[in-house]
Amino acid sequence: MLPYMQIGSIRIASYGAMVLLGGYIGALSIWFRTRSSNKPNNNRYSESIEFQQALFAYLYGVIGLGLGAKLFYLLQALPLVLPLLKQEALSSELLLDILTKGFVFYGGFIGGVAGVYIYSRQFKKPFAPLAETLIPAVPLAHAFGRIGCFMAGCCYGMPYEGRLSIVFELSEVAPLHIHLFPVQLLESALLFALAAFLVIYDRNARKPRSLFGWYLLLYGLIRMLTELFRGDALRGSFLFFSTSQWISVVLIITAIVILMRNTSSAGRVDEQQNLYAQQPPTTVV
Amino acid sequence: MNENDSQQLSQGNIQSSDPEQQQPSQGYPPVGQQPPAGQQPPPGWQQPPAQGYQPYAGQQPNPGYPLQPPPPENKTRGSAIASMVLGIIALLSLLLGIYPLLGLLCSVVGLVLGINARENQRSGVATAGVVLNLIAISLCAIAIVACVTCTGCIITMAR
Repeated sequence: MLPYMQIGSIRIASYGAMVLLGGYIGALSIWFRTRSSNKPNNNRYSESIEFQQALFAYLYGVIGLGLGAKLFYLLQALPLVLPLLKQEALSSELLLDILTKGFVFYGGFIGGVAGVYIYSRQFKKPFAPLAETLIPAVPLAHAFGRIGCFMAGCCYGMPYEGRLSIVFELSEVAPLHIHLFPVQLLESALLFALAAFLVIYDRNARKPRSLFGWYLLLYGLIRMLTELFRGDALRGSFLFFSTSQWISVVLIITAIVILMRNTSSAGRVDEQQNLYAQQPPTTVV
Repeated sequence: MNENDSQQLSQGNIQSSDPEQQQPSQGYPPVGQQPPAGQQPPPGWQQPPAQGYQPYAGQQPNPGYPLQPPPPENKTRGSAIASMVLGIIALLSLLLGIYPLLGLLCSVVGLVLGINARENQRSGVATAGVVLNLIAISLCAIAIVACVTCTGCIITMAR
């Protein structure tokens, strides 16, 4: 669609620009969530996290996301790169392309969670409140990333002649002059809706770790759905599912376990909270 | 009890005759004091709490509470300076178009060092390091990062 934007003599990659925009808007959303609110709402984990901590954990997560996404991509690309290595046909330009282009979101997500976990361990910060604070920023930034995919023409949909079909006239990746399903825009819209749901859900009373569980569950379902309309078939697949669908299945099962554990421990948590609320404040001698 | 007695009572010289004001004379030291050195504490005596605040079970400690001794200042300052230098190198390599991948790597390492320094001690150098590396990473994103999810496409493009 518009893989590169030319501003004067500077050429900007649309995908990178949209990812950057998404990253900054994600950081902005964290600032909104961590700023001190006048409304007392003790159920929100994000209230107990300072902005600087959340921002630094977010940056660790972004670094982990980049490394994880690249690592997963390299693992996928290995079968295609190895023959080139054997033929000694791997030029420095191709190596630069492989290192700077191509990312796998699920690898990025795992890397991002690992990054936030490393931050929490390194600086002795509680992991669960940090993760709960950051998680709505993930679908928000991801939604912008999918718009970037649409502009670059990657992650394109299956051939489709119906209404709302799109035709790429300028792309290095997508098949040109063919009507395709706009799967990138569909996923982007669903991700915006998911981010809105998480923020609204967080405003109401909820249980610890439930935000993370809901994200895993709903994104897993979204990805299972959108994978059905993808047309870039060179991604990995096993049996009747693509690699991403298999990872989605794992995410959905993990989410169900998290949410069910929350439900079973909800009674004990409520009892403890009531007990604390009834106790008089401890006298400091 | 006259005014003089009250003054001496407050200094601990005499005991009050008022039974309500008398401490239990069972050999227990006053609350909050250790027993004298060389003496075993009497039965029932408990170590007074070091702090008046004990968190409830499951309650997270205050994020600002110092859980570990602060790291040496020299190490923190070294990290901050290294972060700023790496940020400058990353920006220069990106702006001049020399080895952009090197710039990306420098900015990632510099950002981690800057965050480490800023978490341990707030200083202007550490803040400058974080900001410079953030700018460098942002430039990387818009300059060299592109999306090619189809793994075969890169190979096709290269041919």
